[in-house]
Amino acid sequence: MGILISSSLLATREIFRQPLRSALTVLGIIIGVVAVITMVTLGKGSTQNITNEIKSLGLNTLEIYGTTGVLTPTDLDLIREKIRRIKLISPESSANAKVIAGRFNTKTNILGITTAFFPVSSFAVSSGRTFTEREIYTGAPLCIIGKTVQKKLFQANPPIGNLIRIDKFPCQVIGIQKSKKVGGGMFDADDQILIPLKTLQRHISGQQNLTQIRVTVKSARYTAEIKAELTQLLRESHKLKQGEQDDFYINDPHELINSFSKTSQSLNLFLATIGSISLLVGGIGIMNIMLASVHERTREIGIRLAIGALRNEVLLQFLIEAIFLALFGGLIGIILAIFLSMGIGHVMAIPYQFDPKINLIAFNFSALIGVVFGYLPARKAAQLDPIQALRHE
Amino acid sequence: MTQPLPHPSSKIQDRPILIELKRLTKAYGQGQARFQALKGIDLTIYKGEFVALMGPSGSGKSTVMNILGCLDTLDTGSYQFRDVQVQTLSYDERSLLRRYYFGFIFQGFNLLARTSARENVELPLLYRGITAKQRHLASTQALEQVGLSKWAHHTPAELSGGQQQRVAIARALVTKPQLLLADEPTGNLDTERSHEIMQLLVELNRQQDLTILMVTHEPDMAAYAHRTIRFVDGLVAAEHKGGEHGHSH
Ligand SMILES: Nc1ncnc2c1ncn2[C@@H]1O[C@H](COP(=O)(O)OP(=O)(O)OP(=O)(O)O)[C@@H](O)[C@H]1O
Ligand SMILES: [Mg+2]
Repeated sequence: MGILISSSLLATREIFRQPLRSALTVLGIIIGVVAVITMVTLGKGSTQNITNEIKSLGLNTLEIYGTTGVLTPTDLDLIREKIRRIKLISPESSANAKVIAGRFNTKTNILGITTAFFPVSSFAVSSGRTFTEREIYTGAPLCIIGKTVQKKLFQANPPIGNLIRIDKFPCQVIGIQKSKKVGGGMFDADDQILIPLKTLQRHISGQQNLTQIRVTVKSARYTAEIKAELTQLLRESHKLKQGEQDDFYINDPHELINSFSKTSQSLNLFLATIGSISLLVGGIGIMNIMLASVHERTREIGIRLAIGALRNEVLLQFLIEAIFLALFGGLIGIILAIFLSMGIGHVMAIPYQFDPKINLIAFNFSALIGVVFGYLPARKAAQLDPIQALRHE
Repeated sequence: MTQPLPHPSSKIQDRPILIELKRLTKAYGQGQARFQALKGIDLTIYKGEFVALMGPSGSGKSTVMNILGCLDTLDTGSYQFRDVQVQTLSYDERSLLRRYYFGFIFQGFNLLARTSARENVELPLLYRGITAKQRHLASTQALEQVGLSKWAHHTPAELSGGQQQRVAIARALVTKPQLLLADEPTGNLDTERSHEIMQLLVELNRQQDLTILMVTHEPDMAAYAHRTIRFVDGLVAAEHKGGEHGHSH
């Protein structure tokens, strides 16, 4: 016990006798720890960002869209008829069109929707109103415009009540979409105009096919099952033979999150590899300095052996020194990593959150490096012949 | 070993035997380079004795001291310490023998640099698992005994040779050993300092009944011992009472 304490004190004293040299010795460990902790912390933060975004789209919503084939009104009717455990169905069709208001014009995406669209998308207007059931049903010439469109067509003027022409078809603006802009995305969710589906089909696109059908499942637990049912149904409807590829795609947000977290997992693995290599280099640094230290202190070892230290006690003493040295590096690394993650997180708009797990892992791993790379020098010290060691200059 | 000891002035041979060497041999090196350092040493040391070893350079004095101190092993023969046959012990058992029974003083002092006198003295106690408080008490006492109370916080570099050797003696004493092995303890000191060290050793021998084995080249120092054993070519050549010249203190 006394030996443990005195070895720890001695180790601490040795480290702080030349703090710069000690820090340089464990530079590899510092770099490794900083790299791993910073990258894992930031990676987690950005994963959290993206997952939140996906979740905000609704976890129990499946998106169906055509790939090599198209979705027809028949498909929609079949889904309505055959699939149970569905809460909402939102058929959507989109077209690009030129839009004119007074002397301004723009090209934008026109999205034809039904009333189901609003709850499925958790859609809201910032001013004005949405469509009524009846307006949707009759295909009224009304529209809700996004912020970007508003800016392009009306600048600062109030748009509600005004008429705009979508490919020459006149529509009255009844609402403005609440901005859905999320940072960094390439797709501008505010650059669109919503109109009743029927209006789009009749007056703008002139066809009945759907671009996308979104389905809200009663519980997120069923998404996988219902996806299978939908696949089966649509394959039959599209008369696909066995072995033929689906001509549509069903997007399950769970899969998206899973595949995303898989990507970030493999990213983490990559980071862990880089970190491990740095730690390995750090370990070799420790081994090197410990071997030098054992050589430098040969006479001290001789004295200790002469006064009756057991080999294991000498071994332990040098092992503790190596561990302390490694932990010293680990600690510096952890502190630097906290500041670095905060700084980069601030710049990249990633929320910083102290992750105790990764810090603990890094700390323990540093200690392990100390044990592994300190063992050889410590054993060398313990195996010294006391007489030779005492004679050492 | 708890039996009461006779007064130091009583005849040595009436006292219990502490060490007995029989036909001890030791060779170094292999083949052509092989050198027979000890050629059959018979030696008996009684408890409480102060014995000086003398002899020409290379005669095997340090070799026998190292074997006695369990720092080295013998080739043939036997070494009995109290009731233990030392040649049968393992490495760790010999370390423990050093820890609990022996104290060492070296010609080169062998103190830990960068470490205060007190810490040097406390070092052997650390390996005995003695509490910090008791270590402090024991080191204070040992430093006082060697007259270095005021120097407890100084590192070896700040002490003179004589003072350093006193620290080394305090370190050897602090564990209350049964045998003090001193290989040329005054070899690096001037005459005056040497006599001071010898007086300290004599005092320890008298007051604490400490058995001392000392190697020296100087007849003046050997004169402090009860008897002197002369080594020549790895053999015991002669024994005298007191120093080389036969006078006793
Ligand atoms: N480790 C060793 N390897 C080889 N030879 C050794 C070793 N140690 C001692 N010797 C040899 O053994 C002989 C006895 O050495 P030892 O050190 O016992 O002499 P000594 O009587 O102490 O001499 P000195 O008065 O010079 O200290 C010497 O010839 C020496 O060269
Ligand atoms: Mg010698």
